[in-house]
Amino acid sequence: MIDREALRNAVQKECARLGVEDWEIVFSSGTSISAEMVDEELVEFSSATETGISARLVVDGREGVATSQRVDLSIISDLLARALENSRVKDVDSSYIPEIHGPGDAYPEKTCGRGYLSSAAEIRDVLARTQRTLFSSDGRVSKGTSSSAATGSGESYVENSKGLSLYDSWASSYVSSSVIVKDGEDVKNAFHAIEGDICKADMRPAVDKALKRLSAGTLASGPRPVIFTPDCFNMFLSTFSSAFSGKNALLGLSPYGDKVGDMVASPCVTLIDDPLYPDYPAQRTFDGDAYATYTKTVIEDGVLKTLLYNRQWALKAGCRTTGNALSTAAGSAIFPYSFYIVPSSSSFDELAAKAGEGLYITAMKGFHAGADAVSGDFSIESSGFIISHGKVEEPVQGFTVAGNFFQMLKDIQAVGDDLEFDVTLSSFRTGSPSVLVSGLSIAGKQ
Amino acid sequence: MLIDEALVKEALDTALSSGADFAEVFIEDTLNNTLQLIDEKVDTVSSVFISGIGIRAYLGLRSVSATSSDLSRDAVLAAAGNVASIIADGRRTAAEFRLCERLNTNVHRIEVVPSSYPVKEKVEIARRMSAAARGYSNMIGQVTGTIQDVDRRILVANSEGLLTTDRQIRIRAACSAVAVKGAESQTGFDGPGRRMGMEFFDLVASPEDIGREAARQAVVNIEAGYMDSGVYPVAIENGFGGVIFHESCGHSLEATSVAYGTSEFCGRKGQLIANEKVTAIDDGTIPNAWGSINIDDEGTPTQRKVLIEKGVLKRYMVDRFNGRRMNEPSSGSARRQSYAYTPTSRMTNTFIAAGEDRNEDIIASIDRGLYCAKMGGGSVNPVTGEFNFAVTEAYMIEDGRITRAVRGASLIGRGSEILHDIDMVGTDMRTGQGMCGSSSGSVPTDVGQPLIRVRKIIVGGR
Repeated sequence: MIDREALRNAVQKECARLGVEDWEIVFSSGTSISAEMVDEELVEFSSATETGISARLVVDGREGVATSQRVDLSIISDLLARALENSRVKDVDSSYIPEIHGPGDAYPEKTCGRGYLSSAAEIRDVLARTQRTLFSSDGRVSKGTSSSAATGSGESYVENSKGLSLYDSWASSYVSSSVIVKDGEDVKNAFHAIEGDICKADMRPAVDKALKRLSAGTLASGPRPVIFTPDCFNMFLSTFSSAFSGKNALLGLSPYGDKVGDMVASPCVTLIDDPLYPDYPAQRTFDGDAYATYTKTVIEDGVLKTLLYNRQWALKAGCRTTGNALSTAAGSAIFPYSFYIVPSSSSFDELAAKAGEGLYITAMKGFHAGADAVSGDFSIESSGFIISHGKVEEPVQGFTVAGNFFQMLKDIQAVGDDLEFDVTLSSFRTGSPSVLVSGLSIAGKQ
Repeated sequence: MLIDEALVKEALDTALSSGADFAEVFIEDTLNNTLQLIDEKVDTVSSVFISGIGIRAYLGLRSVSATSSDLSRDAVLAAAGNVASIIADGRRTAAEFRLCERLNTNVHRIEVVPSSYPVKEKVEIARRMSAAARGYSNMIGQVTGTIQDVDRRILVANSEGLLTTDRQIRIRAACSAVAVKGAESQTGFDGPGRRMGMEFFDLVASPEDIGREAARQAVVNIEAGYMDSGVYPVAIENGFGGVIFHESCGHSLEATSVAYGTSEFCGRKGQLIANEKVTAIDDGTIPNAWGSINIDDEGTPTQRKVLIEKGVLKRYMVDRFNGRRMNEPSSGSARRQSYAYTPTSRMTNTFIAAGEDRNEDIIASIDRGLYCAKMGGGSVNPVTGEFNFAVTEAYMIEDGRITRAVRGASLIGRGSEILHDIDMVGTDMRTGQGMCGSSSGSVPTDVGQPLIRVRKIIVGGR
């Protein structure tokens, strides 16, 4: 592994040679192991060592970036030459003068521990135990049922020509099961994942989810009230989070450009963006522009309070950055952190009673194509259960749920008390309780 | 390449040292460039260097791999040692082997390598594309123009003595245009790509063609109404329309799901699984096509494979490792996004072959249904065969004639059912380009078909 000091010196020297005064590098490294077991067989076992370096230069009021997964002294001159060439095609923009951020921010402290790290032996044990448990939990669990586990740790350094030096590290473990159940010709599957202490993981909820989907019926078309599981509503939040980007608002790619202070959602909706959500190993204390992060309310009781900005688009909008810059290969982008709807005290049964005659949607697929982040329109393949007389009844499948996300936020009737986050290792994740929405369009077979 | 042959051999020997019966080394050195203009101004320019090694060994039906972005001798041998330490089966000693280099036929002529083309001239091309979109209609608000190019060099070596390399150059131009009317916005998109150099803009699509096509779709959709959802006959146009086969059937014919018995098409070779009008092909050999490869990421030469012939299932798409379980040789279908992913069987250029029905007869045969002119992406659950995909430009068919534009439709169904319901197949096969995501990452694939009729399908919408 390359020495960090040697790397910094090489960058400094090459920048001096190129006549570049303002530079910043982010150096990251990580290791991980992962394995997959199908039936009783450990079919894949992998280990990985990853590194990365990204360089950002500011020259004559323009910035250029380049990134490499290979980190050694021989790549530095190519990397900086590309970054410099990339800067030269940018237009000088009077509303945004790029800068390299100096020291002085009050950075928050991480409150989570370092996260769970497991050994190769633990990974194997967890998988063997999990697969045994899945197969013994019900005779209908069938061949092809698989579990995967991964564990990894990483760290990153930011160093720049203004003398700023920042450090972050994390560790995490993950286990997921994909369960197939068969009952005669009827085949169903379900997925369950857990991040954290995988040695304690119980993946039987996947079996339960899959079994409940057996003998699913079809559905007639027509509007109905719908309850989405946290899982499903998280996919909406993730797909449409771009509407809360200050950049997209300025570019006309979001309806929220002139809506700060307006009611954009039902009064039962409060939406928070929290870089420091408790116990999440991917907490962030500084953003991709090296600015301090902080927690903010995006929607409060239905009222839009703020959009999310990095430094570039905050300057263009005439406001301050919200510390939401994410460093990407293409430079600074805008992303939320733990982005979640605050739960209420209503139980799921209360939501079902309120729905009366409706649908409980437990699985949705195809958001990447079936949802348009700009118009808000969506039409998504779904399956779930009939809600009849306020109770969850028989399973149904093979229908679509369609509507408009921006309208749907206003049509939320109630949110539950069961907040769940999607399982990921990235700093951006979404969280939601169960959500009851009035009349969405359902298209089914009958 | 980045490491010498002696070290490649040493890494293979190390990976084999504890009893593996096969070992493979994959080395990659890639440069990805992306340029994006928003409203004719350069928004982002990025260059990403990707290089690293993936070492893999098999013991029977078990695969162990290690990847490293550090290509120093110590790191490479440590990765190979990790593989050996997990295999740890002292019962076998590996057979001696010698590496012999194989050169592959390259059918993809590249006139101007995009990664060495000046960025400022790419900016000019993207500007022309964006300006054409903006000039199409005064309803066009925001325009994004993107040019992406990839220069990927790979080396594959294995314990059967194979040592071979390939250089894969691709270019894609994409335009996204938003039409605005009152408080409504609709987006149009066009994104052709090829395994080609900068000559793509002269030979395949001019920047103006791409920009205008994106704007045209946005304008059609902003004027479109909503449709009544329900079960309809549909006519799906050629080009990206082929995504219906890719999702409803293609993924379920990959060894990734066939090997473990989870696909609904397992054990059905020789059986009629589709309408007799359906012949489907996966062909990685097409010169300069977006999804083409000379060799796959395990070093096996790519093939043209007839998957379904007149409705009868003929072949699966197989990689070397899953092939062991299926007792089938590799069909040259192993692909990985990069060295950091474990390769598995994937599609290349996959399409329904031209049939004999005339386009006008297909439309005229539908009393009330949907004409899907452009499709978006989709997805499938290979276990149940349930798939979905989005329609990005659609029109009603009434009394055998194409009438008003409708927006926001999606089509859902089950692979094994839909294949029998494709009951008319037109003559003009064309392909469209996409990035296909699966366990081995995102890889370029072509989808394609002529105009087809699907007897009935669930159409979702508002």
